[in-house]
Amino acid sequence: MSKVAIAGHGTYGFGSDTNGRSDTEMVLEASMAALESADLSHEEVDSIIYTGQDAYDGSAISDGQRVSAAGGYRKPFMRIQNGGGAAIHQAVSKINSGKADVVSIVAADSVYADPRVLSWTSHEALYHRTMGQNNDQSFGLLATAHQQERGVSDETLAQVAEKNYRAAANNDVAHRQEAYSVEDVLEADRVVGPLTELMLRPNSFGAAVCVLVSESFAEERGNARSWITGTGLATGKYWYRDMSGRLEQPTLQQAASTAFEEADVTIDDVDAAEIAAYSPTLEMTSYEAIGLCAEGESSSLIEDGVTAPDGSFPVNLSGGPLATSPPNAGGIYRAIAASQVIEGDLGDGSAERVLLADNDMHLGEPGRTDAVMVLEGGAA
Amino acid sequence: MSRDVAVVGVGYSEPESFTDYRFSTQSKEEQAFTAVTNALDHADIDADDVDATMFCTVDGFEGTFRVERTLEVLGLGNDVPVLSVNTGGTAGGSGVKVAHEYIASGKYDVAVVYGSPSFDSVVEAQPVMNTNADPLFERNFVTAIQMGALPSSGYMEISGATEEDFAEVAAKNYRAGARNPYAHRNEERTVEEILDSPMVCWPLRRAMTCPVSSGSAAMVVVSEDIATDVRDNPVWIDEIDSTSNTFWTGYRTYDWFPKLKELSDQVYENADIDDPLEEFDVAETFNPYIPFEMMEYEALGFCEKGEAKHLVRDGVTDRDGELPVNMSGGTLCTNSGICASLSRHSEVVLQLMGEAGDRQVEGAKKGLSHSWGANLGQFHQMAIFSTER
Amino acid sequence: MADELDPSVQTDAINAEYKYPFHWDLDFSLNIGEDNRKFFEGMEEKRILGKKCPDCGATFVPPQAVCVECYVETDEWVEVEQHGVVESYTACFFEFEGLPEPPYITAAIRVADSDICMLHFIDGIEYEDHDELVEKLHKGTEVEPVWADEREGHIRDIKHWEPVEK
Ligand SMILES: [Zn+2]
Repeated sequence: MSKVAIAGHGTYGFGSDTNGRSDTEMVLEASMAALESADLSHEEVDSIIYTGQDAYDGSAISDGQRVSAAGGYRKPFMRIQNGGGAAIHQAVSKINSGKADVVSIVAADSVYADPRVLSWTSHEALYHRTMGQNNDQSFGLLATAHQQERGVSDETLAQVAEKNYRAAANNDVAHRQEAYSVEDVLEADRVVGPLTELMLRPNSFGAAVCVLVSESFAEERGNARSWITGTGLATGKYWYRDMSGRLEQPTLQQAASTAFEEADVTIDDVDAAEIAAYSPTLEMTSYEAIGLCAEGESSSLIEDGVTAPDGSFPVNLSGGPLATSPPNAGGIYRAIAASQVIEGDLGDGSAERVLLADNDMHLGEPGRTDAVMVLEGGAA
Repeated sequence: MSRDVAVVGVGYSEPESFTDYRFSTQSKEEQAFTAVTNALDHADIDADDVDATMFCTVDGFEGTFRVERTLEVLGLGNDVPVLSVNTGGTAGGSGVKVAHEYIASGKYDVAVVYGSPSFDSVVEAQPVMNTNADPLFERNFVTAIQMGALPSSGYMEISGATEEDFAEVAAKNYRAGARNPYAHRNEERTVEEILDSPMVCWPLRRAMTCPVSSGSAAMVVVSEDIATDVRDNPVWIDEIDSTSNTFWTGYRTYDWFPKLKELSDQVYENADIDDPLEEFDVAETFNPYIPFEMMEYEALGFCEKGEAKHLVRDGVTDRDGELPVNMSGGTLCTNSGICASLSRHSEVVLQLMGEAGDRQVEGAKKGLSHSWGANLGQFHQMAIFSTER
Repeated sequence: MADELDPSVQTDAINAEYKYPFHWDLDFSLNIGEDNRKFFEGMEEKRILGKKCPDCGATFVPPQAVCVECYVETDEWVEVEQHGVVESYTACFFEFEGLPEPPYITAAIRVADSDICMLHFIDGIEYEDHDELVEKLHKGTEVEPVWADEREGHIRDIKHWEPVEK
């Protein structure tokens, strides 16, 4: 499989408001910034993939509304609803199939609605919605299991959040840019189980666009910012069977092992990661799923600061979803952040290989889809 | 490095499930399992060998946002990705396109494309459909029926096509639907009966517009090695593509489908098609409002612009004509939401396999499928299938 | 970027002239299928039914039409014991339409020897704060259903589950 380059990217935001901009205006601004950073004209884009979703956009077939601003007029326009990571996974195959050389991946978040209620409408109607199942409740169920089965303290969970906010304080596009302390996190309002407001995502508004190009195109134009050398994708089961199994995050394991195999690397060859972890429990158990440590050992990585911004394997130099979480555009933004880690715009610039683990768990953990990518430096 | 890609299995939910959506009693899980199992059986491929599933939908209709997350029968465990594809009315074709790219690229070998019966849990389809229009301006004035009527009346003006021509095309579809066990409307209707049906929105009469149906479809798409391994008559995807128009409909001329013309020119160039009327043996086009079928003849190059009335009057697209079109009865007879978009493709595949039952066109070797969707036909998608590589 | 707003602030209170509020009020009616219909009939009679996989023998409460491990349709109905074991739980501290006053406890409960868990409420536990709750409720806590007096073929025909008195 040929590698594919991230040639350009652009964002608008992120924040708790769109700053008075419409969806179209934000998409246009982010798209133009992305094309400029890739040194491409909009005529050169072969195909568009949109990752917004009907319920978040407040209209059925909402992808149609973004066609013009995304540069999709008279071009193929696809929508993948499993998030930015899955869209990139599809774009890589689109390019490798010979169907396109330049693909732009686009999303924006501009419509205000209660994300917890939207998540609730995504759960099974007869048995789960009747019990109020939604994103936060699913994170609470996992967090309880995590604490009871692995003996993880509230303080450790708070440390995970604090580490993300410390990173976000140095990221000028993050939504939450305040370096909240462990005490701040523990004293914030309790939402569900052990999880407080600051252990869960904000609802962010803004837009993100990422432009992918084929290897030959990138070599000809010299516009590669980073290379995608391996991708993996897996979807999990919806019904609860056993929580220990869910703590192992089998779909993340599966997607990561496929991506590593394709890139012909192991976790030891990777220097940093951007992980779509929607709670401290999910971040800690992700370390185990990607093989950064053995099962149950993630607490010590946190205690030792291994995954902190100045640690030996920084996770979420962007601040992750706890700092910035636009539900439509989050995956694209995380891919941009992973590329920025390689480009040296996030962190100390030493990372040569970064793991991107995205998913659509903004809707909750059951039935999740995980998309994992290995990004490498070595610009063409 | 691109590989050839073939379709080796088609499966539908039970014939009885292709009915008025209000009669539907099966759960989404039950319908999905039936269609997917039938497709896998038809392909002679084991569920364990599936690498990925494309779930094709319009989310707003499902009653559960991202409903595929809750349908474990599509995911088959923790290792098979379920891609959620939503591009409005073209979503079934988009799913085939995504599957094609994954397999051509070498990423996957076996993909299942599933077309959801997306209307099956709405109480009224129209209010959901209306959330598709622009909320600030257009939502206040148009509904889906106007989206069908506006280009239809404009087309009459520029082409000289008559109400009788529309009724003739509709009658052809009803005759075809009567031969299709998976058609919702499966009784013949005469030109007179069609012209006697109530006027809904000029020039569309009730019998010229589609019903709201239930029923689901699945297709198995595989790599070249597997295709020749599992069956003698795989159907190859020669070419597949799509294009997009603006969302705001103010740019439209409301009289035919110029964007489809652009797309078909491109697709024919890539696939070396010089004379589509002669080279295709069957075609399935998206005709929820019957005048669309005539506009599509022109945009797909079966005739010159404005000349479709002659194809209709001469029976060129009827069963015994040069290019039989919509021998399934089309979307006019069965509109089970996104399933209808996938069915355009699966019906051409069955024709080329020689397994289309009473609706079979003898000796069909090359076929065309088309789907249309989103705000006033913002998206067009088409594919060319062939018995030979 | 912008400061974090208090969640209670309504969006239309800010830059109202840039907002166009609309309400998405759509009616849906789900086809529940044969299996759920039968399960709910059982609920009305205070019976809990499960459905079994013919291949691996797994029992599913609530019923599943298909065993995804074996990819076959389940076929045999069994009435299961009205006894559950907590797999995990969480207390919700936020208000949610149609649900009890917070905090309320939602749990994943394995009913009898079901392969999958049922989500339901747990009540009948006195606790002052979260720490005390965590002391009293565990993975493995045994629970039993408390039935509603008026039942209408719905998962909430069970009002909630309570720890079994030892
Ligand atoms: Zn089984």
